[in-house]
Amino acid sequence: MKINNLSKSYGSTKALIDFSYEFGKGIYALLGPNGSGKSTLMNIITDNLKPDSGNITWNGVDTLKMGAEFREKIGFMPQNPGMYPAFTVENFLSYIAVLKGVEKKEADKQVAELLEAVELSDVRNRAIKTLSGGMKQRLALAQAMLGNPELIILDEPTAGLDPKQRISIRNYIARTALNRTIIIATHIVSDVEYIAKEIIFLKKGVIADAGAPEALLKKAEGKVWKTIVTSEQVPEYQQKFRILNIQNNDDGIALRILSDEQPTPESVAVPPVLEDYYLLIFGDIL
Amino acid sequence: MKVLRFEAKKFFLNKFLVVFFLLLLVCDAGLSVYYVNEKNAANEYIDKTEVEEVFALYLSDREAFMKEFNAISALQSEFVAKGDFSSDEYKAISKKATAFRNVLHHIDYIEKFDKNIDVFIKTAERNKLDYISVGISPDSYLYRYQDSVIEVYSKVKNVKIEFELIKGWDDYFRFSIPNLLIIVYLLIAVPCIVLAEDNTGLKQIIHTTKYGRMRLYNAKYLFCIIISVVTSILFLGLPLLAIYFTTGFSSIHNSVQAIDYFFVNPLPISIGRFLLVSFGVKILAFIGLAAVVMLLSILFRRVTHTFVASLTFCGLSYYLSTITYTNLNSPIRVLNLFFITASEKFFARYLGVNVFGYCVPHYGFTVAVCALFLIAAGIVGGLLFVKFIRMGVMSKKLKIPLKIPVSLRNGVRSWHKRIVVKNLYGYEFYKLLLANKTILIILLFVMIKVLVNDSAYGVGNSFEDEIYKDYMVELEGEMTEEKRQYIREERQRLNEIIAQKSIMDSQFQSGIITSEEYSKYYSQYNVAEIKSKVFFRVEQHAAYIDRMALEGKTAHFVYDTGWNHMFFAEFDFVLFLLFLLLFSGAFADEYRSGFDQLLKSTKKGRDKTFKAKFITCGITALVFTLAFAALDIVYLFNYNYLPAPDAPLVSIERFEAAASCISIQTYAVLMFVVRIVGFMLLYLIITSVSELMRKNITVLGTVTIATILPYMLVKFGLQDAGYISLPGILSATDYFLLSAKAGVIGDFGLLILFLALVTALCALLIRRSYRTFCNL
Repeated sequence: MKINNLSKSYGSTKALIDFSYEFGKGIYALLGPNGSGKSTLMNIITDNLKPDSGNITWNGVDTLKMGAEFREKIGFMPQNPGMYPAFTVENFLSYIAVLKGVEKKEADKQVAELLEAVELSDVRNRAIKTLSGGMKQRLALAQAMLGNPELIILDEPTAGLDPKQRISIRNYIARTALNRTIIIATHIVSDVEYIAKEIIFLKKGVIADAGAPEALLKKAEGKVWKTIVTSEQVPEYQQKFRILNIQNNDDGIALRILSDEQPTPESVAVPPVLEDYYLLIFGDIL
Repeated sequence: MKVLRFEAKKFFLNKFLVVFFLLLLVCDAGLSVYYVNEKNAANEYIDKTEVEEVFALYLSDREAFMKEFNAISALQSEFVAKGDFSSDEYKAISKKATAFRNVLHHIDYIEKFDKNIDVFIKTAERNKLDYISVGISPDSYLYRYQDSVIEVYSKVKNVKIEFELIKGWDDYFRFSIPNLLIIVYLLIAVPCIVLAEDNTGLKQIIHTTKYGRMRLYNAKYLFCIIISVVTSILFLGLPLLAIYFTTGFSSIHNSVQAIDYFFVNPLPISIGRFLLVSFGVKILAFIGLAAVVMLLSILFRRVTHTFVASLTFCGLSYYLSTITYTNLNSPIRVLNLFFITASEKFFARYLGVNVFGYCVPHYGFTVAVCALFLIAAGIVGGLLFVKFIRMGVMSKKLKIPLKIPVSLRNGVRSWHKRIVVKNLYGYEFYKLLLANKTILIILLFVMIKVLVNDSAYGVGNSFEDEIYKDYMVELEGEMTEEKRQYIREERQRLNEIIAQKSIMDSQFQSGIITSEEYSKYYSQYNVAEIKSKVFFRVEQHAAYIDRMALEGKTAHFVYDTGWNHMFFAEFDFVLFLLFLLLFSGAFADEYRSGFDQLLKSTKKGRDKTFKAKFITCGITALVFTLAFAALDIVYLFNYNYLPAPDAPLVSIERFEAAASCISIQTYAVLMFVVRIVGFMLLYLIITSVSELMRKNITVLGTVTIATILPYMLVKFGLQDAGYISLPGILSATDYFLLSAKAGVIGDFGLLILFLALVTALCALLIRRSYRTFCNL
């Protein structure tokens, strides 16, 4: 899928500015804080929003021209997806299968498999309104996977899930990424740093940086430091430097600092993680 | 106060409510001006300006007044003698003569006012004596009622009516259209205010805050009262301005009894004070309505259900306000919303309500009951609001302790969940009818329909109607000389029996005839008296047949009671409400649940789903329309005698304007076809608007304004609104009569034109909604 110079404004607010990217098979992460344009991009790809300019092509063909044919290839999990509260879990998935044009027998098989995969088999006959937030989130993910779509768009897929569930979902996404394109929009770096093929940092509607995780991390090398201070010194350090993490140790307060230069003589350079690079990019607006 | 302030803020930030209010206000202003101009426009019978000039002449020079009146009367008589009724000169003279007679009638009214009131007092005094003579206790309600009448009208007798022609006030107090607009607005606004948190999903957050329960409820209740008061003042005040700037008002200090239809108004006060009183009573009634809607909102917790329930309540009230009460002092009548807010009816005369044997003035009773209700509604509403009690969810304390097996209970509860129809149409039907247990509400509506039909058609015909039926069956068919002879002879026979009464009375008193003979005659007399009254209708119909013949139309004698029930029934309001309930959420519910994003991103989630929704709604609409029509037909045929279906339609007098010679049965078939088409168009409108508006409350508001409002405007006297009234098509006959009267390309021309226009509008709405739903 190729996105060419997409722009979108809401009144005087520019949500997306000249966004261009090419997506192949694999997992792509779209990282950015709230309001950076992630959901706008998701909605434009799924044709829920019309861009002001630019287009999207799939194998060289404009997706707007493809219409239903393109939507047949999509699995979409929006942020806070709406569902029918009175529908049962199974009913809901079957309905989505119908909407996606999946044949009945195949739909039954996929529904059963997906319910197993997202650990909702036990509640298949329960009404959606009786499910917990995490269960609803897993159901939303399951419906996105129905029909074996070639392009899966997940907007904040792990929101509201506990750590165990998040790992489980992450692993599930990684397993299903074979031979398809998955775009995950999130601001939780740990969800994607180990599974994403490429990461796109979206800042105020513009690509701030993009590339493979390893390449991006290299850019943060030599900019992350660790230093031990007393509790009285913490406010002073917070004023002078960008603090990534504060940890209580037996020998004092360990500060993880983002800085282009060694902040203090006692500071020691440490290997960066993706979250450090995230803060490096977005530190000015967070 | 802060919480109240935020309620106001939420209200004003709701653009729909603000725009809707302004729209209705503009309607009120426009209709007020239109009404005043209509009422005061010179027509061929009377010119109000001329009446004022004549009155001024009376005041300035009575001699000249009488001289001119005599001259005009003489001139008019000359034209009558010549048989000239159509010349412009005659019409001008008649208008002038009518003006004089109006003035004289008004002067007579003022001069004889206290004497006429005396009649009431004397009648009440006589009644008291009669009651004592038959043993009715002075402590009984009946006796006390007469005492009240004497007391009230003794005070009214002493009011001083200024010698002036009433201007403006008589039009104002009769103008009830603002009441309708206030009711429509409150039905929309109050649920929005009460359910504001439910609609945004903030309920959980708000209810866990310190002031988020009782104080919040109090603020909402108070705000609903404020909105009711402000709305009432503005909507009732605009017509005052309209009249002031067009015709102006006569003196505000004159007694209210100066207005002829307030002749026996029980309040001995000035027009100005009466204006305040009537404002106050109306405002109280509207606050009561707001309280009812508030309670319904808390009970149902869904805007659509609340609106339909509120509309049902108002529909019932309106229906009860139109029936003829045998007991005029009935509390049900006195507490009816439409009765209370119609000043010209509510204050037309003194009514005394029986409260544990005591006679309480109806206005005092109404105010007291309204006030008590408001307090009770406030308390009960608050308890319900805070306890989160919703329809269908019972607290543990209320559960009936039946030992039903768990599996059976679960099976009964979840039967609808087992229905999995794995195609798009199946799911749309499921969403429409089963998912929210709408089927239960549908069953309730069917029950209501049966009850309504039972009360409308199931009542046995009166004794008079049976007599009328006998006569008309006897005479059924075309007019013949034999029938004319029969009519003459029957009239003579009845008159002879009635004429004998005084002779028989005196013969019995003087012992000439025995009591058995007298009883026998008296039975004949009673029957003859009733028959004579009924036979007058038959004679009128004979005259009608002759009149039709002069116009080149053939009318027959037909017993028309059953046909009148069939043709002149109100439109099916129950089915209308059911359509609102079912189809207003057809598209809007997708947006409300937030599912629209997901839906539209799927392969079949746009044009195929759009088509599926319209088709499933269409099938549902057709099934219910046919089912309800079938119910009507069953009741009509079971409870009514429907003779002579081949007779010409004009044989039924109310179809006098029809020019075509279709038969009654042909019209009956056409009528049902038009009704079915009308309801199908209604479903198309509601379903399209559901996509275009995307919010249930705006869909309901829009459809109500477009359909019910013109219909009610006709009921409230604005006949021209009938031309744009869809309920006119839903009843079929209402619009057919307009069409026949207009005579545009035959009887059905205007009807077909209106249908075509509505169909074109539907096509536009569907096209537009298709484009918005499919993101084109």
